[in-house]
This record gives sequence, C-alpha cells and structure tokens, in this order.
Amino acid sequence: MRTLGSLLLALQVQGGGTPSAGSGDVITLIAETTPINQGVLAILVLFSVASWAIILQKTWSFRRSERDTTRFLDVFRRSSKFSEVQAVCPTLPATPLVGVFQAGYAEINAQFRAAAPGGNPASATAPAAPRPILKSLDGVDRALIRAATGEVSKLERRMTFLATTAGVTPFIGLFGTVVGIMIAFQRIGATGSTNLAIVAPGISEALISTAAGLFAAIPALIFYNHFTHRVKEFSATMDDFALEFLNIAERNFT
Amino acid sequence: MTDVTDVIVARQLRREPFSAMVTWSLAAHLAAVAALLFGPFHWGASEDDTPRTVMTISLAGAPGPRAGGMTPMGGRAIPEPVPAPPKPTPAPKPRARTAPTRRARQPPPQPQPAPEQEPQPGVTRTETGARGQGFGLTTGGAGGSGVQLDVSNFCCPEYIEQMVTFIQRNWQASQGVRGSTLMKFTITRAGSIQGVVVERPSGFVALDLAAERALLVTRLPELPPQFPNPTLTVHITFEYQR
Repeated sequence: MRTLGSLLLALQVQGGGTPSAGSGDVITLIAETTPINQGVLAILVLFSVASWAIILQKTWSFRRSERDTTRFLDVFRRSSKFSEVQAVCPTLPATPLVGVFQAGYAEINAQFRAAAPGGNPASATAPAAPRPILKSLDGVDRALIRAATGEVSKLERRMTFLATTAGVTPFIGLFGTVVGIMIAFQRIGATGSTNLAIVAPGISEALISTAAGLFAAIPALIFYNHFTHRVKEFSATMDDFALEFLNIAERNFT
Repeated sequence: MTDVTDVIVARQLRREPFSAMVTWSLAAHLAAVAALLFGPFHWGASEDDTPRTVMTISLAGAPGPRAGGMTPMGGRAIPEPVPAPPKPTPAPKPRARTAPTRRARQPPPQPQPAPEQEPQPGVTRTETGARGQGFGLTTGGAGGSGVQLDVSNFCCPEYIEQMVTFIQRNWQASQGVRGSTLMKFTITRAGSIQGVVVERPSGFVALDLAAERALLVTRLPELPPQFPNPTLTVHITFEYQR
C-alpha cells in the first residue's frame, strides 16, 4: 500500500496541476483529496503499471522474435533437409516461424506414417529407397494455417489490455475530475466565496485525475498501434514462409 | 512423432516472462516517482523563496484637484470641472433655429433638460479616463485614494484599502514638484513594513525621501488570515502632482 501511495503522488506531480509544489505539499494535497479521487488515481496507476509491463514484455519478445526469425530463415534456406531444420528449432523458440514449420513438419510426418504404418516414421526426409509421397498437400496447408493463426493470437496476447487502457483510462480520469469538481463546487458554496484562491486548489486537485488518465492512456495507445503493426508484419512473414514451405513440400514429396 | 495439434498447443503454452516485466514496470514507476519527488523539479513553484503575491499600487495625493489628487477610479488626475454641460444646449438650438419666436417655444424644451441632466455624471466620468481595474477592484470609493492593483489573486481588497489609507495618512503628498517614485516593500504577517526600497527614483531626492518616510512610519494591521503567504510584497507608486 505504501508503494501505491507513492505512485499516486507521482501521478499527482505528473499531473502538473498542483499550484504549490515541493514534495511535502504534494503529500498533503493527495491526502486532502476525496476518497473517490484517490481510488480513481489508484486504478489509473494500476492500469499504467500493467500496460507498461505489457509494453516492456512485448517489446522484448518482439525483438527476440525478429532476431530468431532472421536466423531461422537463414537456417531454413541453407539446409537441404527438413529434419535438419527441425533439429535447429528448439534453439530458436521465439520466432513464430518455428511453430508454423513444426506444424507442417508434424503433418507431413503424420501423413507418411499413415501411408506406411509398418515403416519407421522418422524417415520422412531420409534418403530411403522409395521416395515418400504426400497424400494431401491441402492437409499440410491447413496445418500451416492453423499454426499461423495460433502464432498470431499468441503474438497478440495481452494487447487487448493496451487497447482497453488507451480507451478507458481517459474516461476514468474524467470521472475523477468531474466528481472532484462537483465536490470543489460544493465546498465553494459552503464557503460562500468565489475567490480564486479558494476555488483554484479544488479544481486543480480534480484535474490531476484527468492528467493521470492521459498519462496512462497515451503510451498505451502509441504502443498498441506500434505492436499491431508489428504483428501484421509477423503475420505476413508467416504467410510467406508457409507458401515457401508448401512449395518445397510439393517439389519434394509429390 | 507429435501431432499438429500437440505442436500448436505446446507453442501456445510456452511462457513469456511477464511477471518479471511487471516488476520492471513497477520499478520504473517508482523511479519516476522518486525522481519527481526528490529531483530538481519545480512545478510552477520556482519562486518558492519569494512571496508569490506582488501587487503594483499607484498612490496619488489627497482627493481633490487642489491637492493634486486623483479620482476614486484611480490613476488619473481629477480634471478641472467640466466648463458647461454640452448636452442641454444642443437640444434647444434646433428649436431656436426653426422657431421664429423664442418665447413661444421656450416652455417645451424646459422639461427636456431634466432627463438630459441625469447622464451628466456619466459624461464627466468618461472624461477622467478612469478604467475599472481587472476584476473591478478599486479601493477608491469614499476615500478616493487612487489605487491601482495589478494583482488578480489577492484575497482581501479591504486590506489594501486599509493599507493605502494608513500610508496616505503619513504621506506628505504636495512637495511642490511633479514626479512619481516607485517603492517596493514587504509586509510581514504581523503588519510591519520591511525592506523598503526605492525601485524607480523620481529624480528628486525629496520626493523619494517623503515616500520612504511615509512607509517607514506606517504601522499596518495584521495580514488577513485568508491570505496564505507569510509576507506580502507590494510595489507602490507615489505620484506627486505638484
């Protein structure tokens, strides 16, 4: 709870609406706001922490994915056998292409096993005497599509939260501000003075909520758009890879 | 060998280090808080050491044109009495021109000047050129001290009125020379005047000294409790008309 309190303070400071700054003043200011405003600020801080955690995690994992994708494509284009590529796969777990490839490879193997139940199943790419023939290339295609869909949904995981944060936190902040201003006006009415010195602090306190809401929303929106674009890029790469995979399979196994 | 579904499921189950990122995010927020709380940031409060409210007051002589004073509306010398009300005279004129005999037409214009005379104070007021200050605070009124305030957030105009009256009481306004001295001083919470400085001398030592003396002699009432700051800094212009 202590950390939460200090986070609230930070948002207040970042709100910039405090007429009198200095840490002590901020602490008293936050203590003087209404419980509703404090609750609103707490919610906004939680949103901000969570969305930044997602932003960090996505940035990190997308960077790794990109790096692994380059390496994987390099290995895939240089090797002549699927089994070689399959052996490399565990070392490059971050790229979504590995999922697509493994699904296609598993499907091809399954088809070979079904065609030759007695033979050894791992000989898909082995230079065995009879050249293995794929029963259905469409089946491989479907397996690739399934895997690609799964990979995209995995890439998009938790991004909904960013969109929610971007959409909702300004409204939460606005709610806090409206409530704060209502209370401020009630106080003004009770004091009976329209003096700016009495009116201003309450409104300033109330505006902190909006500032905190925007503080949470703006990075969430920016990174949501950025990540959406990255996911699209990955998706295009996966489609491209699936077609390449199908071409190779068709060339070798039909 | 595994099935396609197994491959997909295994890929989906692969965990990403999310909790670590939550920790990082939390740490970043805390760092931001600490930087803001203890860092060298001042949010619009860089003038913390100096009192925030600064007002400029222009102070003229005692009211009335003879004493070289100013109108209650502030800032402008009281004009000489308007020589003749111009409005009532044009009204009869056209009638005089159109009417061949004056005496026959005299009675009807007479009720007209009465309503015409009512706006006369308004006419003289515009001639003084006085303008309401900002939010309409003039400390003139009955006292007629001619005070201009350049401050918009001081809580208590009554206090300024009082202050001006107190200072004016100790001020020898007619020194025989025309000039204006800008003084700066600070009122403490207890009401004593400190730090009297001539900010812009008038060019005549006598005028500056008279202004300084007026401030040094004056004892003011306590600052109003609604006023939050410990001190109040005032700039005041002493205008000597003659």
